[in-house]
Amino acid sequence: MSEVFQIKQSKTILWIILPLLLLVLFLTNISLGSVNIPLNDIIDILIGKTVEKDAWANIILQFRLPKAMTAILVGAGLSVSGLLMQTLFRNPLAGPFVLGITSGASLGVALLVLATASFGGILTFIGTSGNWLMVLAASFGAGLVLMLVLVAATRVKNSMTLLIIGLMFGSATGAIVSILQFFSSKEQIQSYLIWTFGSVGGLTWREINIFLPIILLGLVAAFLLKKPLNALLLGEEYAKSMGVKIKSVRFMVIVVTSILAGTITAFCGPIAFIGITVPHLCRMIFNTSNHKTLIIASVLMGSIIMLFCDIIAQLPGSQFVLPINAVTSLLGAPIVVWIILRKKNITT
Amino acid sequence: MYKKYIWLIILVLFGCKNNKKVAPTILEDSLNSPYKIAYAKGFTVEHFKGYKLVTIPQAWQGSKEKFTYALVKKGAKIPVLGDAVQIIRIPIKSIVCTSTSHLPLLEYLGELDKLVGFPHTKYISSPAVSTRLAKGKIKELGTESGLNIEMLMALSPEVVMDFGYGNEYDKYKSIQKVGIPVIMNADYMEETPLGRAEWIKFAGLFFGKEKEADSIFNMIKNKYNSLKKIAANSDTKPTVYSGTMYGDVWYMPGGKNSGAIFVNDAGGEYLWKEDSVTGSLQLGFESVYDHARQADFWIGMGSFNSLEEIENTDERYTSFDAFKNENVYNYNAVMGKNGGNAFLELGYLRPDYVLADMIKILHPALLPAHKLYFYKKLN
Repeated sequence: MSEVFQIKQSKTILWIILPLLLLVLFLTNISLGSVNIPLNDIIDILIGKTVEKDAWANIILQFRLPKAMTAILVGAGLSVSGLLMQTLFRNPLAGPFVLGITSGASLGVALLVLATASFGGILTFIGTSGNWLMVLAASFGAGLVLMLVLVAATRVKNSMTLLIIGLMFGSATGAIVSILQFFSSKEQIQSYLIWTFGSVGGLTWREINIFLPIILLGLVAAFLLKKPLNALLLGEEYAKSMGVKIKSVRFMVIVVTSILAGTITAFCGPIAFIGITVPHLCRMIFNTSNHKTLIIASVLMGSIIMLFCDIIAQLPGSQFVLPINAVTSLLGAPIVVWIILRKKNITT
Repeated sequence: MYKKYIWLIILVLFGCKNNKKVAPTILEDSLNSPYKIAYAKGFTVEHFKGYKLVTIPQAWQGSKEKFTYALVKKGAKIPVLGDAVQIIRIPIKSIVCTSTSHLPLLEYLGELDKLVGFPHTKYISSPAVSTRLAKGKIKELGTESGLNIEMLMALSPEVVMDFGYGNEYDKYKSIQKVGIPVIMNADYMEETPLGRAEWIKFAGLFFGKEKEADSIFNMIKNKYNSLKKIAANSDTKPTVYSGTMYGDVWYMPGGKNSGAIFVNDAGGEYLWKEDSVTGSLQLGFESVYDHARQADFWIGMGSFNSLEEIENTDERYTSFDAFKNENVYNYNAVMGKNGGNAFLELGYLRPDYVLADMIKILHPALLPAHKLYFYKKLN
């Protein structure tokens, strides 16, 4: 009896600690950067007071705030889509990108950057239409692969088969990207590579105005799927017997994941490991597989970890910055290994 | 220095075997063409009996390989110098170049007719080269992934002028394997604009046109130095920043980059001049914004053609004073029809043009008659 009570109590504490941690990291994130701005000035800027250096207000409001918000949306979106994929495929190593969404987005960007060689300087090409062309290309590529996966989903019964099909789509698109790279100039390969580094600082308010509603929509949709997701954990047959329409749930889960992961990849490039790592962390610290808890926890945890990774990427105090994708991988991979070693096994 | 002595010993060892009557010709040769390299640090020339020795000690950053060429006149006896020295028979009659920066060298030396092939020709901006290309006098040797070796073999030029970064993209090894001598051109490693322009003397050696190369370089050098003197008279020092964002990173030319040298020589103040990097600094947006938001000029930002384009890419660029005051200049005024940029081709040989442009931008009153050549003001 007391054990159950202890678990409940520790969970309540977690629900206080995590949002607090998120707030602290959010403030830390926007107060650290290449330029030193005192904390009280930052608070003044955030509550709308004027500070003596208007450059500081610009740095906070036009640069660090959108960056921190992007980090939160990316962390939350990727973690939740990772959770959905792990449940759908009942595979602990599934992430938001197993369906080939990243590969599809990469293909779109690669086609744009690498195959437009005949138009002359690609940077001119991208320059004329802003970052939107890149976003469109990535969304188009992700959407194309998603459509193929959806067609496959209506034809195969087994989620495992679907997983393999997704991986194959990924390999095939990866191969096309390689061929494109082979025929591209160093400059083009470089601008493609820069996209693969990932970026959370590239979004301005104009882009966040689109990014934010899409991610919120995806997160709400995921939350609404919590009950059928719980049923899926017990096996597709069992879920069926409980009256869950497997096919339509599978369809919905794939759509939500694609919207989340596809949009994030389109705006920020591929960002590794967050989607795989965070759901495991949440399962471990909350010791549950209930999706009601896990989805909210993934949103909080994902945001926290992304903010933290971004702080590291900014190398506070130095003028230099690291690619965000490298930081998430460096941090994510050891966490997965640690979880496996700690639990001796890994489950969904 | 000791390298010179080594060659002296080799000269003594091998030279003594030959008859000594030839000895005066060395003296005569080195007196008549004292090929002094004043600015370029990337190659050395030594004169020996019957041949010249050209050495590129570092063809790329951190290169451990030294490239040494013995330039022997066609028909003359080939000296015995060992495997490390490549023999090039001069003057060369056919050449394949691999970088657009090699092309103005041939053009200025009047040797463009020797150019028989070039890879990825769409990057060429020179009208003279484009005309020859259209007439089929220059063969396209493969596109992006580099030189097509089979096509090169079929063309069999006497030499290939190549460059290397010391990575997997380098082609010179596979070209050498098929028996075509490769001249490594390390002009991009030069740290000063005049040093880079002086590579015309390097090219001149292979065509037997040292004197011509010398006078071309002297003309460029004199123009550059007199422009520099004019700029030194300016009373103000406008501040300048450069570069643009790729992903989250602002690539800012370092303080020892040629871009920084041009700004300084044109009487401006480059905001990252204290820095000791010759390549590019990778900075976060906010550190650039903090340091450069009140700067007078933003000069050189990739391929942007208009202020609108810049704003569409990232509206945060517009919070810089230079942008608000429309003091934004880019180096893409002269473009080939397929997108080749003359600044990245002829610009390396004509630092005097670049400097004149820079002075015109920063201190228009000092050069009232000059019209911008490589640079244009973005609107």
